[in-house]
Amino acid sequence: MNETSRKAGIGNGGADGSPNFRVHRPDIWVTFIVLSICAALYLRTFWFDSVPDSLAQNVQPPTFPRLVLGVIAAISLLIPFEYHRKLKSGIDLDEERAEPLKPIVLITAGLLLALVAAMPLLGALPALVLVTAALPLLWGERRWKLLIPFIVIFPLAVLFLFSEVLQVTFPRGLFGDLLR
Amino acid sequence: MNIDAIMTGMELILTPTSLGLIFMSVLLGVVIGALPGLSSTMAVALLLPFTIGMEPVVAISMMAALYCAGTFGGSITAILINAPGAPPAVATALDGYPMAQRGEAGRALGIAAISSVSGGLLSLVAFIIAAPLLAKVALSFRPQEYFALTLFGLSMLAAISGKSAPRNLISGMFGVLVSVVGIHLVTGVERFTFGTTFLYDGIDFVPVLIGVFAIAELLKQASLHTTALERIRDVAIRLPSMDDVRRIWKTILRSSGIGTIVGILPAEGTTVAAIMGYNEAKRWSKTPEEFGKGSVEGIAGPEAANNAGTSGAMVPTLALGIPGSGTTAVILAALIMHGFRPGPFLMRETPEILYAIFIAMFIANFAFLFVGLAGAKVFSMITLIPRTFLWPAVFCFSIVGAYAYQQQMFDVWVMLGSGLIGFVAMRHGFGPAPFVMGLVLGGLLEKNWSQAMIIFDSDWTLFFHSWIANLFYVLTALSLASPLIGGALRAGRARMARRASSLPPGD
Repeated sequence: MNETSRKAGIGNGGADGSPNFRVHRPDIWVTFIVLSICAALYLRTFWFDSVPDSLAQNVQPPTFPRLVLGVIAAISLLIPFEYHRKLKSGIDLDEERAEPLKPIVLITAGLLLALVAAMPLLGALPALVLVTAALPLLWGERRWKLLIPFIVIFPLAVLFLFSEVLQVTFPRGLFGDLLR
Repeated sequence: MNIDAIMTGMELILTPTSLGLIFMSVLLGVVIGALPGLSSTMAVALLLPFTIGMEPVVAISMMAALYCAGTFGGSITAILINAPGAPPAVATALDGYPMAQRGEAGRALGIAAISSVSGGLLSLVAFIIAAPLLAKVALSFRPQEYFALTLFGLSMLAAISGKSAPRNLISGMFGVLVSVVGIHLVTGVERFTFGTTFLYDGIDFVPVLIGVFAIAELLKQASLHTTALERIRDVAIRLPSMDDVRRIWKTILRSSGIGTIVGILPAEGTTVAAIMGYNEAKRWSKTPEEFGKGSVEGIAGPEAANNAGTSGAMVPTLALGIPGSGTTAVILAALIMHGFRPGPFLMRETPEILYAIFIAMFIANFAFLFVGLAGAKVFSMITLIPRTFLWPAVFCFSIVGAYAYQQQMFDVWVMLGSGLIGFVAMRHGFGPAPFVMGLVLGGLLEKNWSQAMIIFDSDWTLFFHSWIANLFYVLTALSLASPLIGGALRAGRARMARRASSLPPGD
């Protein structure tokens, strides 16, 4: 069985033999997550403050969000049935998620979080210097002759543009306070 | 025609500073367009914080110029290295690269540039005629009609980026949901603020836009390998000969029309326009067998269509407040950020902005012709910038841009959070463009729905008492059903073809 026919489920049989009604397991999880978010947010609308009808003028605060959540929940029920139909017309919805997340992506995401968390503490300039040093190094850049000028010049240029030309005041951080 | 508004628009744009900024945007647009992975939508989102202190009309004009130039920039790398810098240039690579391979890179670039400029200018004419007319019609809309129109705009999300209509719609509706966070305007009640004062005014567009377009893409790039691309080095730019012009002028006219119409349709973008332009060029060509092997019409078709699509997409954005594409959704957010009221009132209250944008896009078209042709070789080398430097630089701009908007760290966290969620959502097929359109249109949708509900005293049936609203409801139903209708038509055609091929000859 070749890859396409395997993916399309040809030869595996189906609930009724029609790809239109066959479900795709990863998408059941997607639907479950979407429905869970909807349910949680829908529940949250019961905690909105109540308003007298005369003030609300027929537009109670939870009505519109509940409508939107209802629409999302209804559409999400179509998702598990999509995969096999799409595959028939040559569209692979699993293309992006076919490979598991590589560790480098998770480490990069963690680094981004750490760098943003460090910004108020360190101040804008040291934080940007860290960004320009840490990310290229993490992604395997070792050409020091390019890297060092990048680390030195780029953050300074960006901060100069924003703080001097656009008059933005950045967090000074520990170092800035010490200097003061 | 409002002569005063035209003069004011010209005064605003024809100053050395404004012209310099527009030229800079064009340069930036061509560079970003040429860089695979960086989109003009992302560039406009990153440009937003820079424009905070600027004259609003100049700021919007810069974004419009960047949008035009970014669309053309993608075709340079599509032709020279077979790596379309932007999705609308995908169709250009089909014939551009084969032409470049046989030593006609300069001719291919010349045809792409002339077709782009022609498409851009022709659709600008449509823009300047259609936008005020559309706005005049829309001025008579009541809340229920505006609600129906916004619903139609949102329903067109189903078509964005092609892969999955339900996922696009869910993405868009989540955007609408995010737009309701904050204080409810009618009653003053907090919604989804989770007790934090930062959310009282809602979640702002700017950090979310930067997050979903820049950070999500950065994470995607983290797992990619740097690939060495084969570059065409012999690039002597040549403008199309008279023979070329004779072969492509009809294609340019047809594609400009297609691009303008597709651009005007809410939520359809330049990519769809380019693909349609290519397909129609092939269908009408006397030599369809040359397509894919380096046909001049195969370059002219998509290039004229995608650039015509940019001006077309500005029409519903400015006239109705309904974005025509992902990038114009960001431009719409910029209009709101700068204190404008997008839609028919924009035309009535600040008509000069329409003419200023028209002039800016007009100038941008000639500027990218010059910049693109003179610097094509340099721009093709931009792809040499290692991703290990490019994406950290994008992250720096993202942090600083998100912070600069309101000078609070909360926005940086919103940007990062949106990026991380956007990345996970993208892996499962939920695109960022529908989300942004939902976010931008959400406020408008709820406002008109609320107004209609107040007027109708909660009687839902009155939503269907207007023929204009009903027309939009029908269009909404059609656009929602379009993937099913399209699928059924394709299946029907395939069945017919199978039946025809199974018949014995002579039957």
